Parts: sequence; C-alpha cells; structure tokens
Amino acid sequence: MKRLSGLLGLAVFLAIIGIWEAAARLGLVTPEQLPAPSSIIYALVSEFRDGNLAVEVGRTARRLTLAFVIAGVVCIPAGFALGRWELLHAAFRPLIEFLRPMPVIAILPIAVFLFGLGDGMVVSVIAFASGWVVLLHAMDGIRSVDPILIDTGTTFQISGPRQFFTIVVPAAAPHVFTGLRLGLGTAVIVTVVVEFASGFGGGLGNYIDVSQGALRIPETYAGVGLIGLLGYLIGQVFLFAEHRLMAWHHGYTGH
Amino acid sequence: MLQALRTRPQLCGLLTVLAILLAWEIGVRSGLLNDKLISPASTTLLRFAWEWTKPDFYADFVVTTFRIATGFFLAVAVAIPLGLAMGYWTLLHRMFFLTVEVIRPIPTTALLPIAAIMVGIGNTMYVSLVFLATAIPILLASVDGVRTVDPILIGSAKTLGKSTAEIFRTVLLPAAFPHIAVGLRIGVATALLVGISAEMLLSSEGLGHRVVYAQRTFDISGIYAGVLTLATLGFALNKIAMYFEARALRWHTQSKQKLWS
Amino acid sequence: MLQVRNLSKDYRRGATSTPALTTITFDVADRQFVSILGPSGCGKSTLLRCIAGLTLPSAGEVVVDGVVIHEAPEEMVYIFQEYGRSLFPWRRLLGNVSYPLEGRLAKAAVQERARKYIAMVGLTGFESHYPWEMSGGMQQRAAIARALVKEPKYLLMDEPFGALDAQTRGHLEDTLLQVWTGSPRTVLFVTHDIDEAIYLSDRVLVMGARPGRIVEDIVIELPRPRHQIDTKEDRRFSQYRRRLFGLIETSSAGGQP
Repeated sequence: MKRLSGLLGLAVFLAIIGIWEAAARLGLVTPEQLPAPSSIIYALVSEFRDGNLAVEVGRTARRLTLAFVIAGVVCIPAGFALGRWELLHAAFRPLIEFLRPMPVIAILPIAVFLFGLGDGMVVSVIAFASGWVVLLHAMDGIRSVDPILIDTGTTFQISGPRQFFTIVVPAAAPHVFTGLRLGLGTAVIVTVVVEFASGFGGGLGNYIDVSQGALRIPETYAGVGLIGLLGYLIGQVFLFAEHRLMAWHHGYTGH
Repeated sequence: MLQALRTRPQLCGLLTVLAILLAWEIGVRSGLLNDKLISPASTTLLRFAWEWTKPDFYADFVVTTFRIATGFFLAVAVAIPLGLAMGYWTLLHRMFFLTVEVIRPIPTTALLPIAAIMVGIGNTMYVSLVFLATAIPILLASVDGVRTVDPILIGSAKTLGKSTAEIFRTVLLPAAFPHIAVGLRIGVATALLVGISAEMLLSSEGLGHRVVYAQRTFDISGIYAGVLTLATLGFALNKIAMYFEARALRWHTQSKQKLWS
Repeated sequence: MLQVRNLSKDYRRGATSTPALTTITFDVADRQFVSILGPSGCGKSTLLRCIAGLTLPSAGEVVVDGVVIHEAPEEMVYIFQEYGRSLFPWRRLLGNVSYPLEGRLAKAAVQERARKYIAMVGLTGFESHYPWEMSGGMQQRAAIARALVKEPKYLLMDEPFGALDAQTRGHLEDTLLQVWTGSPRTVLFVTHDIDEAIYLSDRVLVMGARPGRIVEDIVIELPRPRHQIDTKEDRRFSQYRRRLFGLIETSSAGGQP
C-alpha cells in the first residue's frame, strides 16, 4: 500500500514535469522565461562536462562545510556556557532576545564593508548566521534539562563537572541536533544570497547570478536545481549521522 | 556582590548592555577600533533615531513592510487551507508530498534570478518570493497539525451532520492551531529574511536596499544604524506575531482545561 | 542512625510564607524499614527530599550518623517517584545501573556489581535494553538496582510504586522486601497507600497535612517474612489498617486526631 502511494506521488511529480515540458515545446511559455526541463538537463550535463560547474559546486560545498563546522565548534560550547551559568545567561539575555528575531542577512553589508568580497567574508557570514541558530538551541537545550535528571546526579554525589558532561550534555543533545539541522538550513539560504552578492567570488550562487546576467536561462535553472540538490544531500548526510548518534532519542520519543 | 547580581537578573542584563555600549564608544573614540570601519555607539544610535525623521526612510519602511506583509498574508491564505486539505485527505497528501519535498530544499533566495526573469524586477517579484518562502513552512505545519487532531473530534462532527467545510473551519483549524502557530512564527521570520535578502540584492528601495546603499557609499554610521533598524523590525514583527499567537492559543488552552475539569 | 530534629520548611512567595512542614522530629534506628504515610499534599515528599539533602530545610536539621548534613550525604540514595524521568534514556540498563559507580571502581568491578544487582531485582537478560523498551515495573526495578549498586546505608524511596498497577506493585513490594532482607539497610519509604505501609514496614510514621507534621508513630508487630496473602489475613493487619485509616481521615480533614 505504501509502495502504491509512493508511486502515486511519483506519477504526479512526473506529470507536472511532463506538462511543463509540453508547455515549453508548444511555445506556451517562452524559453527565456521558463525553459523546458529537457533543455535544463542538457545544460546541466554539458556544463559539468565542458564548463567549470563542478569547480563552482566544489567551492560552494567547501564554504558551506567549513562555515558550518566553525559555527558548530564555536557556538555549541558558547550555547552550553550560556545555558550552564545563570549569571552569564542573565547578563546576555536582553542582547539575545533582541537579536534573536533579526534577519541574519542584515549582517551581510557589515561583513562586505569590513572584509570585502572574498572567501573569508562568505564563510564568516554563513558561519555567523548558522552559528546563531546553533547557539540558541544549544543554550535552550541545557536550560530545559529535566530537573529530575539533575537531582539523580545529586543523590549519587556526582561532581558538578561530571554531572554536566554525563547528564546535562546527553540530555541536551536532541536540542543541539535540532539546532544543527536548522542551522544547516539557514546556512544554505544564506550561502546563496552571499554568493550572489560576492561579485566575482565564484560558487554556485555566483554561477546562477552570472548565468542569468548572460541570459543563459537553462543554465540558471540548472544552477538553482543544483543548489537544492546540494543542500538536500548535505542534509541527508547530517540526518544519517544524527540517526546513528541519537537512536536512543528516536526510540524514547517514538519516532 | 555576585550574590546580589544573582537575585536580580534584569539588573545583570542592563549592566551588560551598558557595559557593551560603553566599551563600543570608548573603543572607537580612543582609536582601538578603527573609526573608518565602525562608528561609535553614540553616533550610531543618534543616526538610528535621526533616520526616523526622514521621509525617504518612511517610504522605504512602507515598501518593505508592504512587500513582506502581502507575501505573508497570501501565504497564510493559501498554505493553511491547502495544508489542512493535504492533512485531511491522505490521497491529496500522497499525490503532492514528493513534489513538495523536491521543492523544499531549494532555498527560496536562489529563485531570485528566476523570479526576476519571470515577472521582471518589481513588487510582484518580491511578493511572490516571500509568498513561496513563507508558504512552505506554514503548509508543512498545517499538514502536521491536522495529523495530530484526535480522530474522535472529527468523527463527532461528522455524526452531527457537519459539512466538510464546517469541519475544516470548526474542528480542524482550531485543533491544529498550536502546530500552525509555530509554522506562522517561522513564516514571519522567513518572510522577513527572504524579503530583506531580495531587497539587498536587487532593489532600489526598501530597508534592505537602504543598508546596502550605505555600505556602497561608505556611509559608516548609516550601515550600522541600518542594521539596527532591521533588527528592530524583526523584533517588532516577532512581538506582534507572539501577541496574536498568545491570544489565539489562550482560547485553545482554556478550552482544553475546561474539557477535563 | 538517622535523626530528624525540628525540621521545618516554608515556601516563600514575596511577602507570604506557606508552611509546608513544621517541627518534624523523629529518629530511625539502623536497618529499620520505616514508612511515612500521609494524605496527598501533606508534604511527605518535601520531608524526604530534605532528609536526602535535595532540598534545604528552613529550620531544624538532619543528622546522619552523628553528622549534620548540608547536602546530599554519601551514604544515602533517593529513588524518585517518576522513575521514567530519572533513568537516563541514552543509556541501556547496564549503563544506567553502572552509572553511580563509574569513576569510583575499576571497570570490571563496576560491571560485576551492576550485574549482581540487576539479577537481584530480577532483570537479568535485559542489560542491553533501553529504559523505554521496558515496562513501568521494570523501569522502577532498574531504578532500585541503580540505587542499590552504591550499597548505600540509607535508601529513601518516594512513592516508588504509586504509578503501577496492583499486581506489579505487589511483585515489586516483595522484590523490595527480598532485597532488604538479603542485604539489610535503613529504608525510608513514602506512600499514601495504607496497606502497602503496613505490609512493608517495621514502623509507620503518620503525617498530617497543612501544615505537615508527624501525627502518630506506630510500630508494626507483624512477623517476617511477610506474605501477600497470609500477612494480610492476620487480624492485627486489619487492626492496624483501621487505626491508620482513621488517622488519615482526620488528618486530611485538617483536624487533630
């Protein structure tokens, strides 16, 4: 039954592609506006083979990964610190609550102004944007640990630091992973925008911008699709890692 | 003293903010921080306040808010009914699930050039981008929300002879609302993010453009004041969203309490 | 020996102060099984938490083996009512039970002791299970094993069987008595169930509510080992039950017996 519904979804999806293709070929939409799926795929293949699309994809993937790792390494401990020490949390709370709803892209003009248009700027903006999400979730995770778990540590005379690393951190892990997952999503969104803005900085975002400027429309669409694919693949790798590490949580919460 | 601080968290926060502002001011004035890269706190804050007295600021403000609000409300109008329908009729859900999942990983901002091609640069482009970006989280939240509705509630409505439309309006929507509320809050943030991103890249008006213009013209205090403005806008929109959410959910929590008392 | 002297606990909220416990005083001899019985809300959990060092009393003191305690004493372990939330969901049964000993003993010794107590509560074979893969009764047994693995002198239990069905409760009561008989230690057992208090204990401290205080101290002179059917058919069991029922009724109505 499940297989059938999967097929139904696939059928609908293919039908949409088919209608799109037909509309393009019949001239219902101009190739400048909406190129046929077949031309997009053709552009994709030829760009990979003859052009330097592969290089751009690699550049974007590298930046994303580097930025995300930096974000995780810096912001998970920072979030932990803010969660662990009430004084620190109280001290930074107004700042955090004010900056929490800010659109992270606002940081872009400052970064461009300070760092110019190079790789460093791109990576730092992505790291900042996704790191912020990770930090908030890590902090919330520490603060929402069940007090009974803490009391359990107390009654067994577990020392403070040991309590933190063997009870609080594992208990907060699901929150941290959610933060990482959302941070990854933010990173992909921000990467695109930053690469658009980076002039000659290269990367997929830049490739899309340049293609569109040169009126190479199928290439533009191909680039957009590739970004989606890249984000999806990285997300899948992440989900796989999460599933391995958080198997206990999935069983515990029943999904 | 630490003990005194511990019992007054607000004081802690206030002191930290003041300390940061002070450090910022002194840092720039003393030359520690390059004054060609960052304007002092006082200058930035004054500039921030001054902006609100300029008519072209208000023009930009209105443009940005209009684009974001229109896109957001359109998304709400389309995504909630569609999401409820997809959650209710499993067939519909199965049909479109794959398509939604394929579209989902594509960051909406990447669609900016495509939108520019399709509808030309202008308000339609912005509104449609915000619409698309916001509709997806709201849609997914609505679908999730319906799936958590107690089937007994739906069954009761049916046996009472309620039409499908009435069931949607009087059972599904209220029962799924907590989930939808979360989606709406994400939607507001997304709408803001995508709207400002698009303005920064392509527009010649709007708050996003304003900050980029300051950056290009090396208007230092303008950059920082502009970022502050965007942060304030985000903050305000979030507060408004939370207010409406609390109102809608208060009704919901009250009814849940009464049910069990 | 455990001594509670003039223990009081108030909850302050701004200007108002609600007394939860007033001048509680009693002694517990070593290896005694003492139940603390009282109606809901009389503060018995609060009392237990104060004794365990998890909550600070407003006045009075708890003396454990001659030493006034200011924090969770080494010789005591507290077992929570909400066993589901107290076991670590990221560790399997063996990992949970070994936890208190980690870092204190060599790895092999830790494992050996853990397995011993897992066997004692009857959970052999489930060492690789996660807590959520076990039933409520099994989880509570796991919590007991984890507490016992430290071989504490004092075991404090807060309505541990309250959330379980009658049959499971009966089994766990007997398991607990078996363990206690095999390796005797002082047990303070909080419950609202009269039958359970009589069945398990040497002595029942009856608490009254609003404010919480000890209303009566009754020695249970029933033979051991106890038996779910025989002991409960003993005439004296019914007499104790009648007496305790009356005490609870009056104290939950807020009056003196």
